[in-house]
Amino acid sequence: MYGTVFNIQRFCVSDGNGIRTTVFLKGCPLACKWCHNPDGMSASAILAFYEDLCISCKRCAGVCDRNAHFADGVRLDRSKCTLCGKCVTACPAGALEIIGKRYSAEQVIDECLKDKTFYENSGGGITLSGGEPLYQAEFATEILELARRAGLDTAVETSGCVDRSKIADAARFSDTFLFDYKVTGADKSLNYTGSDGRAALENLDYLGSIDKTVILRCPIIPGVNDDEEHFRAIAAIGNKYKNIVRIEVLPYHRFGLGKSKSMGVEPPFVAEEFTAERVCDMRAAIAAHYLGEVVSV
Amino acid sequence: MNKALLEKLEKHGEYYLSGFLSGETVCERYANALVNAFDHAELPKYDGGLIYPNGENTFYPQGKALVFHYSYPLSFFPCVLDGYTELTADEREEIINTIRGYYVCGDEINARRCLGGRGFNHFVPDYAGILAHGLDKAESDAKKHDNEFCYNLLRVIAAVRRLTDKIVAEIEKCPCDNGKRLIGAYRTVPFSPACDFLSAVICINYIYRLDGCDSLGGLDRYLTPYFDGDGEMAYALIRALFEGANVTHCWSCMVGGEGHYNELTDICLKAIRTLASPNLSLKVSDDMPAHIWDTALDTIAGGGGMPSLYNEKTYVDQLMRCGVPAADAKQFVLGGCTETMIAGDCNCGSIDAGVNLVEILNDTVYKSTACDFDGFIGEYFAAIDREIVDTAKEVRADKARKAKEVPQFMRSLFCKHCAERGRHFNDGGAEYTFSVINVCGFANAVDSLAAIDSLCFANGKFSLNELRGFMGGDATGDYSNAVRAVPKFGNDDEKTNDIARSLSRRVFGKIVDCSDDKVKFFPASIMFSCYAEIGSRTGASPDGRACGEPLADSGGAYQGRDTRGVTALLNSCLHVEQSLSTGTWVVNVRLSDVFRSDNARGAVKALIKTYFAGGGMQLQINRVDQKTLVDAYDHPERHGDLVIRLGGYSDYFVKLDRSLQQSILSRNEHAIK
Repeated sequence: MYGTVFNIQRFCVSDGNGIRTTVFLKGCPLACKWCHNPDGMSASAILAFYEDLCISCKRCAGVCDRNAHFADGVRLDRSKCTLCGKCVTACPAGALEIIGKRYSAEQVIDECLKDKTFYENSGGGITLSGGEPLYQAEFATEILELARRAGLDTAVETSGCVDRSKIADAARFSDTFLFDYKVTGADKSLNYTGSDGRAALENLDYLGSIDKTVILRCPIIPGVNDDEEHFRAIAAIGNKYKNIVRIEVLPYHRFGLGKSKSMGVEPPFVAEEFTAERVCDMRAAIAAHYLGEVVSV
Repeated sequence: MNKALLEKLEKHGEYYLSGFLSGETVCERYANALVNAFDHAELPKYDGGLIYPNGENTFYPQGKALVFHYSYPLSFFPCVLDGYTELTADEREEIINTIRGYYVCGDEINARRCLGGRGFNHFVPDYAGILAHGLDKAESDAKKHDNEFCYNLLRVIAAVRRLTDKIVAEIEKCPCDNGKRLIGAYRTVPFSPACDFLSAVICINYIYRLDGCDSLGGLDRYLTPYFDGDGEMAYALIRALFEGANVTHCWSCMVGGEGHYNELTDICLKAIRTLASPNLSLKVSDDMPAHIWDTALDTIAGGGGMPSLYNEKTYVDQLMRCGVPAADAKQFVLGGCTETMIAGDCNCGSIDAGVNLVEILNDTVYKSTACDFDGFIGEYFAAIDREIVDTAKEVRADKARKAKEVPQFMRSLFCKHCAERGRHFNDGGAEYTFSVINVCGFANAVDSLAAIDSLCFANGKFSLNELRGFMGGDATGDYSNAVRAVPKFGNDDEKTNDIARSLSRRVFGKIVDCSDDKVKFFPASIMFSCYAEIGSRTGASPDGRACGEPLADSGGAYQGRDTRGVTALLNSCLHVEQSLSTGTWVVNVRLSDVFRSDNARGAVKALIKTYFAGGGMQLQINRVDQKTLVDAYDHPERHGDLVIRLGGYSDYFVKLDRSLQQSILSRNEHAIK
């Protein structure tokens, strides 16, 4: 079957063990205010415009049938765009890009298999990410099944905010889950992510019950969850499940801001990044209560 | 030449020139030049340091009208003579005419083929042999031959002996413990065998400088027999040697290799940190210990781009296929940038000449009458064949001139078999004669062929005439627009991979086929910094590269065109027939800060091992440095492939918001400091 993919990134070294190819699937049920992949939120393709690369040659306007570029004093009117891609081809500066492309599961695997020897020599494999990869659960599961058949190590990076059946299906073919734990407290979670987080915790519990390997991934956001209560909660979850092999701290960064800008939307959350010392302290704060390994990535 | 004129020159310190002019035969002239230079060498003041001489190489002073150079037989700057007012116009003219009557580097090779070098020469002295036997052996060997070369070689050896005495006298002026140890070392080396680690380092330093500061060869291997286990002292001495090599712009030094990894390998990998030269390279084999991997990755993570990594097995296999016995093949080292040679016994023309694949392709486009892509490829390959045959013919003619006219006494003295055979370095004295032919613009040629196939033949969208219009300067037309969408080499794309394979097989195969018993021709991609200069004199190419823009900077993708990650780049490079590219197929890889976590370091190690297991020859891994980031900020069009990794997330630098780019620039600078 086909799905929408917005990036297939090779030589990833922080999305699981070894050298991995990370496949980013579009669509997410959450709306985390700090999201660093805002281009993955929507399930459909979008036209990104990198204003700083634009040289105002207006070739895009010359090829656009819908008059979406440089018309009526507007540089790009996305409401007119049909994603035909002519402007992307015409742009000499690489300032335009369609984010999101239809792939079949076989096409995804064909691309991933190009690096099979690198996986074999490093203990790596493929990781599905997003967005929320299980937002396109059938597509994701088919990719995982094909990967398993091809002998690839598989991982899924998930928020856990999906139906149990989707997690269970994916777990049949996934060796590891990179499972997000975002915010402590249902109300706070609802406010910042659009979900109270209960479904995620239940799915984490399920993965524990089937003893599936989990790496707990914790985005730490300034002013949102960079507090002792949250750090203790992370450690408590880590200690509760023996299938959690390590905790990874993901400090807030601002890479998502440029993406929001390229999509023509205002980022809902902007903050200063943590200093290296602060990241070290936060890691230590979790490690003080956790019995396993804590790393920052 | 009259004595009064020679005295005038010597007043200005022109001892090398004066010596050269005072001879009659070519052998006598070159020997006289060296003898006169050594007898009048002004040595630096000894400062009590661990090794001496250090700093600039004063054996061969710069800024003179005639300067010794290890490769250019006559490095002549007649304008310097203008400053010598006591010279009459006739005298000046006489000097110039005399010098110009002799061979100059690459005389027989068309200047058009000077692509990174023209009749150039690199060499690694027989350090191991000299440490083991001393120069006394060369002296006694030379005495067995009654010919002009050996007669003059003995005169040069005697001058080196006098120079050594002067060095000892200079050290004695500064009484100190280090000085006493140095004098002890110079009692044995370089004429007698080295007796301990210090004397071995001193000997290598001295030979390196006498040779003209070219390359240090397999340093850890040479020093191992003399290592007494004092790692601290070994580090201090090797660091001092490297610091001197850095000042004198040493080219190459190579460490490691199967069965040869030890504490000295580790020390060399650490001692190079913060230095720009020598270009330290590491032989990688299956038995390389984990701690050597760790030290090498730590040094790479330091940001200097060293060590570059070499797949030992593929070099040894290729050299053996070329007829080099296994024992010698395993002693391969690099001279110059990364030119393959056999330590101590190899006359390596590096770079002798080059083949500009883009220029030949452009010429083919202008002349082509092909109706389909196969026909076009046939025309292109035939033109390449002709160019390679002509190039090899000129290189042979150049080597024949050198055999008659350029004895290169220092190289002859430090080459394993010259004195023994009674023949000089360019006249069969060296066991091996290699010629490295630089293959330029490979990625541009592949991308161009993909574009021609796709745009001109497969869909007939553009005629060859329209393509010629683009190449003639119409950069705004539809062609320049369309060519951007054509797949580019370095992205693991099937079509460009196939083109790369067939083009490399043809080019490399033809170059290798030019070899005979006398000269082995080695294809290479050694673009160091010459890709910009060569590009500046190369017209616009069908891949969309504008007239005068740089050519590809290595054997990998064209700058900024590999956008699918490093594994895609390396997979593409493995389609290049590297098993025939014995002169080294250099691939530059830029990685951002992926060395922090154990997993990331393990991944880099696996990346290298996988590439080498697939037949890759060499990898130059650069941690992205500040200069590159600044350039990417100012010229995003050149850095479409630059991935920045931060906080577990990566993205293309050029697509980030400007303010974020600025913040990364400042952050990275802190990290490097």
